[in-house]
Amino acid sequence: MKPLYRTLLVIGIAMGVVATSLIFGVGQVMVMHMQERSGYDSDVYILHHGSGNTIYGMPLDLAREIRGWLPEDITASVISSDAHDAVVRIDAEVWDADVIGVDADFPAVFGMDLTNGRFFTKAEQENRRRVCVVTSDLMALFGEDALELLTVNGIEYKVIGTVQGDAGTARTPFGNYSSNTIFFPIEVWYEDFNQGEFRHRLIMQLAVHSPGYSKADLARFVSHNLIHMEDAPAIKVSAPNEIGYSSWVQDLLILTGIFFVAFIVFLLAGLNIIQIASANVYDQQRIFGLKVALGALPRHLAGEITGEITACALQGGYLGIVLAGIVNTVMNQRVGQYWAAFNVFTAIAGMLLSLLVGWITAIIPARQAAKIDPVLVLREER
Amino acid sequence: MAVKHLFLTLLTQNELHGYELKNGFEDLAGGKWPLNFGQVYQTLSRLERDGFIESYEVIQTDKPDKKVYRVTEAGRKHLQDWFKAEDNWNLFFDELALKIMAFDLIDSEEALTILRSYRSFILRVIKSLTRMLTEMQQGQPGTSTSPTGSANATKSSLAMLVERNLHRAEADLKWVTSMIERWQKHD
Amino acid sequence: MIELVDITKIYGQGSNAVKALDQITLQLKPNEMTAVMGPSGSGKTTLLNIIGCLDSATSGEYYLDGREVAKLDLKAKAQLRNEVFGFVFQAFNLLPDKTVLDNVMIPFRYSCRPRREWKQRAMTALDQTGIADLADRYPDQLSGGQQQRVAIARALANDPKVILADEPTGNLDSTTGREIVAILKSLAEKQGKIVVVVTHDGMVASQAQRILQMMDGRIIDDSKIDSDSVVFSHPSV
Repeated sequence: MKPLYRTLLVIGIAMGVVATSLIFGVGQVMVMHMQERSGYDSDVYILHHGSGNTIYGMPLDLAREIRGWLPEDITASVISSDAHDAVVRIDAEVWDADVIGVDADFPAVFGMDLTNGRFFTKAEQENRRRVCVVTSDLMALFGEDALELLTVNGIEYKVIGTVQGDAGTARTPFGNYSSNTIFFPIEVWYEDFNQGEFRHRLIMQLAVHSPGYSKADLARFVSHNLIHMEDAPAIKVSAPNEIGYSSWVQDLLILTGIFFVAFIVFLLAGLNIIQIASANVYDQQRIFGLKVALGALPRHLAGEITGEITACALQGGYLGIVLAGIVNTVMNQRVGQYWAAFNVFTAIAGMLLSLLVGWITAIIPARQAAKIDPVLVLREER
Repeated sequence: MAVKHLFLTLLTQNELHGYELKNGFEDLAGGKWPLNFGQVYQTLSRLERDGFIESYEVIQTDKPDKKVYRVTEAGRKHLQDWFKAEDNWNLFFDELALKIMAFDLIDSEEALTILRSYRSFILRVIKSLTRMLTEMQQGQPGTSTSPTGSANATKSSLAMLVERNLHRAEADLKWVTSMIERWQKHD
Repeated sequence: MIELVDITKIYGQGSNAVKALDQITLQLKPNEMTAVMGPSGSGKTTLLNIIGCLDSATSGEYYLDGREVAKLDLKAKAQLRNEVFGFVFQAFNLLPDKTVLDNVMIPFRYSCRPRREWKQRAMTALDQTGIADLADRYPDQLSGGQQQRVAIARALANDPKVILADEPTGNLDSTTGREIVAILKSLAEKQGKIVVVVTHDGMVASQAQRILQMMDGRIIDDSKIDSDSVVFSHPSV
């Protein structure tokens, strides 16, 4: 194969692999999300103000009051929205982390493990201790030494524990927890981050872990008490995967869109290969004719063509993985880690894809080679 | 008469006597054109009569005196004129040419037979000339060195001569082949 | 032993039909180099292709050592081309991106020979054409004569019984051409192969033992050259 064709083929496949690797990576993350969404303990419910897709926040005392309506043996925690104008500094570096306020029972509700240290206690909440808990990814990023203390808006907080936190461990209806979350006692959260928009001071969810109580039970507890309230707000009980229903559908649409794009990329890469390989067969017709004269059968020629294409495909695949890795690293800086899962599976998927594309597309040029009439192509000019 | 001009050429290089001239000529001809002494002396006396060469005797004590020849100015000029003169083209240069003249009058079959055997002859000529040429280029014995000129010069001018003949023979082969084809088509 | 009986080859159909070969009957024996001459379109190359099983006749019989070739399937014919016939072309047709040795080994890919034998056999073939020292070069580093020697070595790789050369000296100067013809001739005389050379070069034909003259798909002359005895004359004085 001419060097030019070889280069074009490798580049073409590399581009295809870059695109599909990244798509595969994003797809992996999305699938994980969807799994997580449906993988919740069925005993976890979310009480929120608003209904269906629309979640309003509620004041803390309302959230406390609602908690009071529920039996003692139910574990509950409020979850605030993200104070996104709080300026977090870790190790003197400004870091864009989510700043969430919760109760001491927060990890218990969702069954989250602590990988290090401990969560804060009710006592620390009441005493307004300036403590916080980070997600494990944040800890991994900075290390224990750097993450003993952090400052938010200039105030120091002691990091007392690390909670498991890779992509999508816990949910708010407004999207995923990133792996970049710092949990504060809700009272501290209220006091210290009482700046900026009013919306920050709202509780988004009252999450409960209620084994033995069904959704209907909880709803009854709520409605029973709501009747006695003047201007009763609309409090709803939802399963976690019912929240943000629209984003679940959204996810599915995005996923479908992603696979569609991947398919198009696959197709284009395939067409690219077929075109180049066909041009190559045409250029090399004389050589193919010669090989037939030397005793080659159609399957021999097909094997040679497939071999050449596969070699290029592997090179392209390798190049594509490397490029995809670079793109992934750059995107991590900008969009945040785990925008796409770039791991061994992505790499393997990329290589397998390039091989598959190589094998399948080789069929057409192999057919063309078999059709060459050696008598015709070996004809000489006098 | 080719011989006399080559004798003159040899004499422009050196003064020679008859025997040396004979050998010199035969070397130039690669052994393909032997001369006898009668021809040699006949040529020399003609050249002398025409004033192109002159001779003198060298007295030897133990052998008979030998006659040595040298070229004159007139001889040199004559030679130059010969080199410069344009050749003519002989339309009837070999036996076949004459046979061809008879083709209109003889049987068509006979003409074809003549052409066919000429073709077979030409192929043998080409084969022989090719062998000659190959031997020359491999430096085989067959071209002796002569005291009157460098061995290399002899080889290369002879090779040139053989190559010329080879080309002419190949051209003739093309011609006779197409003649035969033409004859076949008429059948 | 090659025997062709009333071999006819027609290309195209109906009014476009062209008779490339017209009832050719021919026998070829080992130890002989046969030259095939004729104008363009006389069917020389077609004859060569049919002998070499690269093309098949429209009618007639072709016996190779007594076996009828027309009955053989694609796979069997390919095997014959690989093991029995060796083609040499005017344009050398070497793979430019492979070394000389790799080029000579190409026929082995389509044979059943185990890989460990390949290099040895290829070097033997290169030896036969006198260019074993060029094994690691690439075609673009070689002269025309050397490239044609590589092509001949490639044709010899599987030790075929028949060598079929189509204008092997067409792209070479006359001196190199003579060398190549000498190689082909020795393959017939010293190794007992059947060598068929299509040529329009008289010098090449003169070296053959037998010359076939073709025209319009027929053999119009079939003669032997036994000797090269010629009387060379010269002017009288």
